[in-house]
Amino acid sequence: MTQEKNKLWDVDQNLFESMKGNYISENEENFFKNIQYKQEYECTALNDVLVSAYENNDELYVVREIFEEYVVGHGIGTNGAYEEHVMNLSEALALNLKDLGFIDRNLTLWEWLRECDYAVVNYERNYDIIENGKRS
Amino acid sequence: MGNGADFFSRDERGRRSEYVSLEPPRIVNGVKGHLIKRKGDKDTYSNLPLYSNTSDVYFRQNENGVCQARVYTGQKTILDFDWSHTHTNKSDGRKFPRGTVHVQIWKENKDGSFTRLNDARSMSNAEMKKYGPILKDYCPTVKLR
Repeated sequence: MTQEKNKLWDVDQNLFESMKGNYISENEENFFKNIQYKQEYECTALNDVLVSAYENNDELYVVREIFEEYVVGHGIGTNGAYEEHVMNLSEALALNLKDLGFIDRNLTLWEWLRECDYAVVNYERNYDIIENGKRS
Repeated sequence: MGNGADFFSRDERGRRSEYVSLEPPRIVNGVKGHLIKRKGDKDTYSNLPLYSNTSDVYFRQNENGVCQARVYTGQKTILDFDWSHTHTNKSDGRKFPRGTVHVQIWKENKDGSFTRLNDARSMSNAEMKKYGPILKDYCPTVKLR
């Protein structure tokens, strides 16, 4: 995709900088590097499904919209009934999933991702790229 | 599917569309709108299409009702009217509460990808005059500005 670099929110820029050299695993490093690139260069009009509710036992989903907006939700077939829309990655990672009623364990989204070492994240589901040329 | 399914079954280049109609299209104030969703019973979390073949505006709905409209010129996405969530602009901190339209402008790049331009804004007077009636028809509670 040939796009101009998107200027990140300050909180996300600071987050990405603070993570350098402090990743707890290779998968965490991959996550932050992939997400920073997506937020800077990979605009999506059709959405980028990072986590699908069909692919984890807690039925959580995480969807990136435009450059850096995120929808975090719960449940299969819930059609948006249980979800939060936030403006950047820092807000998304700080969401408390128990407070939202999504899961019983007291975890933020970031803690939940660390719990599974980011195994649920799919970086290849940006519908704009999947359908480029298909003319949805 | 609704009665418009057959009408919507092919895209502008004759290929099968990834989307299906949920009800027949409506024409309000000279603007043709269509409520659609992506094919299949599984949740896909994807947004309205980049290209239109049957209408001036496509609408999507969630559990709370119709919540977003995508407008097309020459069959290409040009802007979104979105009231599905609270939106905050990055550059000026301006907030648009859920239920009130914020407008996002799109441009097509040379490689066929799309990029959103700048921060969200409120509907212009011209947009309210042209598209306001059909937005209200699909979602009577939406606040245009």
